[in-house]
Amino acid sequence: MAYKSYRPEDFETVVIKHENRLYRTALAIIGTMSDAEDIVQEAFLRAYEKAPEFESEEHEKAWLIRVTVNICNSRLRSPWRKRTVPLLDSYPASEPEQHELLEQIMALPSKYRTVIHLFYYEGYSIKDISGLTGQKESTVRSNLTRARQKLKSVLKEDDYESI
Amino acid sequence: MKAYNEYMNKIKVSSTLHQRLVSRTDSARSKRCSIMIKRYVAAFACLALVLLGVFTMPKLIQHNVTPIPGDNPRVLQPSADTSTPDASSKYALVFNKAEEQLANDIGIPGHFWQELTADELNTVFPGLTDTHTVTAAANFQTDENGVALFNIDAHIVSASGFKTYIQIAPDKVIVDYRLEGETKTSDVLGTAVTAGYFETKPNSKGFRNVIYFAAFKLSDVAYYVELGGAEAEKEALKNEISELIGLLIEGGAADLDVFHPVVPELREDQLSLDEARADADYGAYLPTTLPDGFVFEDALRYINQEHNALHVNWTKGMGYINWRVSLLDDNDKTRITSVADTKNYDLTLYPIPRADSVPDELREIVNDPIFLADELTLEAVQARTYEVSDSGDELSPRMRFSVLFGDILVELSIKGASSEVMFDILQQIIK
Repeated sequence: MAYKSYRPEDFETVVIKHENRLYRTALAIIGTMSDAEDIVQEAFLRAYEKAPEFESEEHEKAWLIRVTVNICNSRLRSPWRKRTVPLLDSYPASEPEQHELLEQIMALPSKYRTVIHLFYYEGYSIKDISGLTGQKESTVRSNLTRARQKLKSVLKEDDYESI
Repeated sequence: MKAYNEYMNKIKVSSTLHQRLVSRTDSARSKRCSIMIKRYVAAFACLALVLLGVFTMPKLIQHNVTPIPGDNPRVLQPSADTSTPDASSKYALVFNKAEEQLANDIGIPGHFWQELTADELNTVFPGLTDTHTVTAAANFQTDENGVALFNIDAHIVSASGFKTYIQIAPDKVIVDYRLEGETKTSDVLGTAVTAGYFETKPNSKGFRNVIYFAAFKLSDVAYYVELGGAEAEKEALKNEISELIGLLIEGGAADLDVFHPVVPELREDQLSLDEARADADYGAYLPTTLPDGFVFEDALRYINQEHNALHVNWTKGMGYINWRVSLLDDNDKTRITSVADTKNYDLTLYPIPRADSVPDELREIVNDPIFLADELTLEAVQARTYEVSDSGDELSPRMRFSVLFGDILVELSIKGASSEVMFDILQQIIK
């Protein structure tokens, strides 16, 4: 039995439930506010148009994140990308340790930022991320390992330990 | 990663974006193309409103017409505390403080671009190319009425290293974010220039960035100039942007008729499955049958100056078949492998974590090998297949590899179909 369909009366509930999560995911991958706003709109639009049926809330969340990641990747491949306002200009870090860590994370290639965000922030396993991104599990693991290595190489030991 | 998580937790969608997301329910039933049109119309309307404020004010002032407060919230009477002209600069520019930075939603229909040649740079930026390093690209839009210049994106580097962004456009400049606040114009060499600045919030170290920006028109050509940097350099930034604006105005309106664009083939079409199968270039390389339960999700035919491909996706619950067909690119050739060379693709040779087990020199090819179609064997496909058990998900085979049919590359990423079934499907294409 379907858990939920995206009927108009359900849609605002779905938006409220997932908008921040999708926006943060898009920001983490794409790095700019204007692109992230576009991407979240596009993700919800696809959900509304397709009105997919989900087996569980977790399935719904994973579907939306997967769509968001795909749109981000598509946007990153686009030859004409908007000029960028760095994430930290749009959303300044409030603490020194946040700022340094975020600067280093945002300096990573997007494929590393994707796995960092989905693994550490969303709490997905490597297997889950493999399903969400369409990448091999080994690729996800490799990207995560390399992202950690890169962060370790640029952060002070104390800072790295804290992540 | 506590600091990262705390930072992300504080980021929330704005009420404006929330309303835009929710309001999709009113319009999303219409066709996708009409949504895209609405998107552009909304963006253009929004910018038209901003630019109305930017460009109407100087004209009103020049004609001694006093704007009526309240008629338009973006056109305001100068208040007592607005900035005074900068006496240290050669040009007396007033920079108004922008209070808000907002994302702008823009897109270029039928977009293609070309880098400006040295001659074109000299024509478009008279007076600048002698003193600055200038690089620029002209963006064009195409529709049923033909091709038109959308804008010129230029990056100007001064001898002291300041990097200024300049956009030039016929009639109207469209930028992808707006810096909004009170506007007041200055007269620079007889041209009305609306200038402003935006200060970012201080970061954790207490440092701010300052973005200076200005807009003006020379004849029918619109200009937008933007230069940002550390607050500590604000005087130097202000002087640099003022000098650039002066040079642009002294050089006169850019000749935008200098371009003779050759329109490349462009497509970005959402296709039905039947339309995808009928695609003259790549339709024959789609599977004729699919594993049980997989349902067509979407198809995209995409052509621009860099890409020429057909993407088709099928799904089955959390399973998927992503099928991409394109011409073999030179960059792909290093991933072509003989089936006999198992070290290039056999995943059983490389235990997880493969970041440790795959030698660096083989990483790319092991990640996504390309087999020649007439060499492909079931054993090779099986060697690419692995299964994982995922919490909340069913045990399902996954595989990723590519197959080369002549110079046509088929890239596959699959979850939820067996190697035997996928091998049979690929054999049907070979026939």
